[in-house]
Amino acid sequence: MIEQMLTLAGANLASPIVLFFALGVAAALARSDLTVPEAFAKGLTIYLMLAIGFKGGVAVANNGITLDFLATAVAGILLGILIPVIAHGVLTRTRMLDPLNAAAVAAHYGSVSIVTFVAGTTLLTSLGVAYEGYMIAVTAIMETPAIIVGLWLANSSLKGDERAGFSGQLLHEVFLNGSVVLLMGAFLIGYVSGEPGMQAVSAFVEAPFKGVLCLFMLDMGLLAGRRLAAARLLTPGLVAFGLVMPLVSAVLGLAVAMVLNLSPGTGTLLMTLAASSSYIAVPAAMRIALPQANPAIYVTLSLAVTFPFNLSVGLPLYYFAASNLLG
Amino acid sequence: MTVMHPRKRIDIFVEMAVLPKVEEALTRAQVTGFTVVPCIKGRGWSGEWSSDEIADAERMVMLTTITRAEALDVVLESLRPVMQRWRIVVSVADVQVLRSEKF
Repeated sequence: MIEQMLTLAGANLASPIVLFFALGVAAALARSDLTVPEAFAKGLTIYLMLAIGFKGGVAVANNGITLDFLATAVAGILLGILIPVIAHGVLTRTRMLDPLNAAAVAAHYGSVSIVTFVAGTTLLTSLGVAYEGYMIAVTAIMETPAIIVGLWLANSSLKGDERAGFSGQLLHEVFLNGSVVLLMGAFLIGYVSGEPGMQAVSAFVEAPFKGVLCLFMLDMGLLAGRRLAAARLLTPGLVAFGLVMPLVSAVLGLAVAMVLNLSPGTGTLLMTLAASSSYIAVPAAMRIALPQANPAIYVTLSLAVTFPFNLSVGLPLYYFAASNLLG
Repeated sequence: MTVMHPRKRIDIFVEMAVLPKVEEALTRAQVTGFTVVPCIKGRGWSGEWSSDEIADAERMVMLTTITRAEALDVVLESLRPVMQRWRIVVSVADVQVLRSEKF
């Protein structure tokens, strides 16, 4: 069994996606002038959201909307509420962070990383493991609850004017941020256009997908590496939190997947979503609603510690656990 | 000789996520014109920042507006709540403009 796990981990580490990410990190740490132009990187994000959303929509159109989908969506929301409460408890009781920064970090760990999810689907595809297309919609649904729980946790330690308000701009940012709109929009378009739609655009959304993901991972590596190089506020305790918290969340995801009797592929993705932490939607919400919290802590921890961990070690581990305990 | 008119230029460095709050404050102060330009990189008391961030919300921009001296206090007072809650840098400079009716 251990041999099987090591083979899987080795294959994952040797995948172009992980290696391009590592190249980006190494280049940033070596202070190379390698950059991915900002507008180009944005184009890559748009392509990935469009492709993954569309493919998920087509998959749901082929299989129909099932009770499993609704149950998994509800379970995803519950995970998004529970995980930040646990993370906040750990960070405050161990005195690693003050309650305010702990709440901001907790919101990040309760929310999800779409890129980690995409990497998870790519790993499953390369292994020939099937998963439910509705997990794309579950991803979008799981982005939000943790933000609200995080702000509630922060407000419990703040007074009067200092409290985070749920302003129109915040709600706009949470529910209508570009990633969610494109992901869900492409999902709906995929659902409506179904298999004929996929045949029409498969050359665009399927064939170049992995190559584009490699380019995107190179950029992610550069960003993570730069964050890491400038990470002065990350204590050993916080780094340990960034490595252990995804495992705790993944175990919760696995427990939910077992209760719902999900397939190994779908269960792996639920574990991946639970274990991943946000670095796009939640930082934006925190900047608006909780400016007292320090982004040098919450973004760095999420992007430069937990994301690389999930990408390199977490994903094969989650698949290994799901394939042995589910289905 | 070209006639110049004295005015005050207000420069505000702010993250994209907080820009709408600044715009609201300027609107309240009846500022009708401004320009927003992107910033590339910098360093401040909270460390280094760069335009090369993954989220738009984290990108830094500079909003610049030119106003009459008598309107300056109104604008700064309107910006005060934003300055107290969010990290923004505001500076004021004396400038000369050619077309007084525009500012």
